[in-house]
Amino acid sequence: MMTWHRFRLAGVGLSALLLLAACAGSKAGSSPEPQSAMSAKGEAQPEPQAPPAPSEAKDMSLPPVHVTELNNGLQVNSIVANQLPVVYATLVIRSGGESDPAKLPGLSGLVAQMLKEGTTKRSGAKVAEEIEFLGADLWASSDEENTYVGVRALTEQFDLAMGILAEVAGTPAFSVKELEKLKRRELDRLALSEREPRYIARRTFYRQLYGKHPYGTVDTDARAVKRVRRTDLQRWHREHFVGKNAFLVVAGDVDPERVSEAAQKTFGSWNPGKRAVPTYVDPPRPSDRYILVVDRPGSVQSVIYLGNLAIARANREWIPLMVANQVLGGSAASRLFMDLREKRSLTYGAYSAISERVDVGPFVAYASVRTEVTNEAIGAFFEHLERINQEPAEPEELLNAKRYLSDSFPLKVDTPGKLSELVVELRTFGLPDDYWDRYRQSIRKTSASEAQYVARNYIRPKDSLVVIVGQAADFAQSLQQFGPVTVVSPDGELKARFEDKRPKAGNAGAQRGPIH
Amino acid sequence: MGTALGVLVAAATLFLGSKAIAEQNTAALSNLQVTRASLENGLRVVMNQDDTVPTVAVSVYYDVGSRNEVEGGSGFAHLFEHMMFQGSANVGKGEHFSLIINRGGSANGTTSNDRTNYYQTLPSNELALGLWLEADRMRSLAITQENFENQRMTVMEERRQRIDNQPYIPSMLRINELAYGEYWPYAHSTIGDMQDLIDAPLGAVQEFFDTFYAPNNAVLSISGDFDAEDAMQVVQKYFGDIPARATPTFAEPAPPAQASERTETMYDANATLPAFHIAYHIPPNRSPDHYALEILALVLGDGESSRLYQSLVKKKEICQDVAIGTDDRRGPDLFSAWAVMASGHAPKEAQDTILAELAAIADKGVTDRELEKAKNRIRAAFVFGLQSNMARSQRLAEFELYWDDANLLKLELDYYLAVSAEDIKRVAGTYFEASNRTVLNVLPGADPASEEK
Repeated sequence: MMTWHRFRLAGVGLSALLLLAACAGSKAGSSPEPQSAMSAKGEAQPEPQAPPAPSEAKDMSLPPVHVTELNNGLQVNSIVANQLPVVYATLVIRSGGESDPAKLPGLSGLVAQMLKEGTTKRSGAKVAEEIEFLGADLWASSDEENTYVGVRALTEQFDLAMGILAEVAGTPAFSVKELEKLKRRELDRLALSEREPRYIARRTFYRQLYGKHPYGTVDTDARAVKRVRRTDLQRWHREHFVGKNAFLVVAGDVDPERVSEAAQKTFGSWNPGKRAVPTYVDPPRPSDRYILVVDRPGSVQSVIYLGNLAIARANREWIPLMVANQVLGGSAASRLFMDLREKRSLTYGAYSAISERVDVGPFVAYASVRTEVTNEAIGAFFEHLERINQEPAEPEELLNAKRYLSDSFPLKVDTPGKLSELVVELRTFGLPDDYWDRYRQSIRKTSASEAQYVARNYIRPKDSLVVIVGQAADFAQSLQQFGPVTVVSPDGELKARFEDKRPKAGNAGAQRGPIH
Repeated sequence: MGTALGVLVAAATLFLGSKAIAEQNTAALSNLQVTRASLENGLRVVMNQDDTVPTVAVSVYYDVGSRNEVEGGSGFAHLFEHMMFQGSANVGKGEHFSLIINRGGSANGTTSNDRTNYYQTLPSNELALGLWLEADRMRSLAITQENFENQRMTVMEERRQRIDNQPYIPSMLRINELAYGEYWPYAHSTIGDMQDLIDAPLGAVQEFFDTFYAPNNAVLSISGDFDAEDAMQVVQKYFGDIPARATPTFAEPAPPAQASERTETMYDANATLPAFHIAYHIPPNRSPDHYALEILALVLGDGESSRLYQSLVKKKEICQDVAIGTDDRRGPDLFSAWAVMASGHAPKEAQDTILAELAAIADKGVTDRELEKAKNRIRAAFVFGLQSNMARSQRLAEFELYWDDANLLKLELDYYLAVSAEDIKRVAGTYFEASNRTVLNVLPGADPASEEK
């Protein structure tokens, strides 16, 4: 029964060892014959059977989203999904990391954390006690685009939970004493994170890819934590937690009219304010590859992040690009995984993704590989990026990719919490109201030429940024074969540079090897 | 299993009917549609229909985990689990994942001390595919030297990546070794010792399959949008002719004996802050005292309003984080505290607070409000925890496998709600003697006496 009590420490992995998942690599091997396939009697092997065909697909329609607006401009979305007596309410503030002041990266995240540390009426401990007494959960966080305050509760507690949600979001105390405590915890957390190669890789990749663009910041830093004052939190909160810059999503066993009433009662007194419009500094537009190695002596693995600026979520080419990415690296059935892991056994898993962003989002391919095979892995990544960039996908690959993306959609809507996320996505990226109704059809309609056309524009191995965190001495210099290499310490101090030694002939970029 | 069931029956007579129970949320549980069946070969089948979304979850639970491993063969149950994805009579290497993903599904498997499970979620019109894949590997695993070498290397790499190279994770293995001592089934890790993985012989794979992967040693559980009668026909068609085999019953060793407190300090080069474990022996999951101990753990460590989070993290600011819980094993279990210290603080400071809190509860009990809060949390956790088809198929399979009847899940909440303040006070006074305690301190940095064992 006990799964909830380890929740907070999941990051440290207390429960990690109770279960070991299967999804692990396998070494290269050329289709071996089963040596001992039968367990019982020595019967003759029958003809291999084909997997059963699907029966007729059931159609599925999404529950409608009921939308109303409070007088102060706060939009209220509700969805009835009443199979269980639960409700999820999420208040979304339409400002996140993109609105952090330049000198205080991560301010929005600190504001979110401080919401739970006490209101003008009572302490954080009292708020936590009341919400937990209801059997409910309350959370606050921020990402690149938004700040979220959410609660999930049994339906019978809906009104109480909404009251607490509004109290926490609307009237935080931002107590100096609590802020000092949070700062100490954050400094300890940052110190621990900086020991993790994946954290270093991610931070370095985004900083390098986006420069001064707000998406270049993936976490706060010690300097900002030390510098931040109560008035910074208050100012950010006052400006962004206003009706026109917020919306509410409520999903579950609820009546939309009651949701509107509850929202009016709890959020109706908020100032209308105005919608915050972030300023996006132009990110760098590189015209060539750049390989950045962060030296971490003692690493037994190299963490690789490789990619380029790609596309905004609302762009109409998003869906064809997602299909192309599915062929390339979206799952354990995609090319990167099948080759880097299943065939070449370089890694535990290799994937690629298109991140969803309001402004231009990145295409990223990533894997952690044994130090010895770092060069081979980079070569393999470039082979596959070149191929998706140059050639149309095989018809069967395309069919599989589209089938996975469209047919797995019901798994994205099977709980009220997940339905809420779809609505948050609609509003965050300004997608049309019938977007999800048309979503599966749009995927199925994607043609091979469309998928290739977008891959050529948005997956660009010739001007990729490559970030590798690992023991540089073992591989950095020979990365020259892929482009110019810079080696830095985790603090960013320059340690070495190696010039570009790509083969000039035909200017084909990475050496082409056999494609399996 | 027999003993555990006996305990369960005792629990039922002890608790049921003791008082009226909040009914609102138990309704969600008792409304679960559960159908049980079994094939002639002994395969137990649990079906839970719910047409909220057009998906189905299929889980197969085998009654074998790392507890069944023999000394010198640690890690084999998990290594074997990897082999189950390497192909079978009609499924090629790597095809298990790709067949499922390419039809819109997802799949995985896990190994624990007590069982091995395999599961997939699929669009509801692909139920036959999921059942066919599970039946094919239950009947006929493709075991080759090459696949075995691949997976053996992979698991060794997995151990290096996920355990040896991660902060604090080695201590999670060490605390079990220390606390369980001579009780091998739980003292050794599920991932296994590196040397045992190196030594693992190919022949053991077939032997393991023959010994444990029989239909009569498994539970098949289906949840979601399907028709039970139609599904049973497909189950019969694919699984019906897999022959039953004799499987060994788990040879339960004598429970772990401990006469005095055990303490140890270890060093962790990947860590930045000191940390510690405290573990106490307690009875198996679902025994009467276990419910009270779980609620005690909630009062101490669940959520930001819990006693220890408030005192150690918020008021005294000596811990970065703290977790309290039981491991919920089928056999002898542990009640554990785990904390990472805040910088500048040593484990001893927090340990004193935890011991004092346990003593205070043994003396004064918990407040009515704390007890009610814990119960409300559990009621909600039951409802939230059974929302998805996958969650229901797994929980039902587990109940069928461990406790012989998936329907018992519907009554499970009642046992928690029946725990009294007096029960908690009593268990707090029963299990937390120093002689029942194991303490493992973890210090950041290299071991100053690193050559010493």
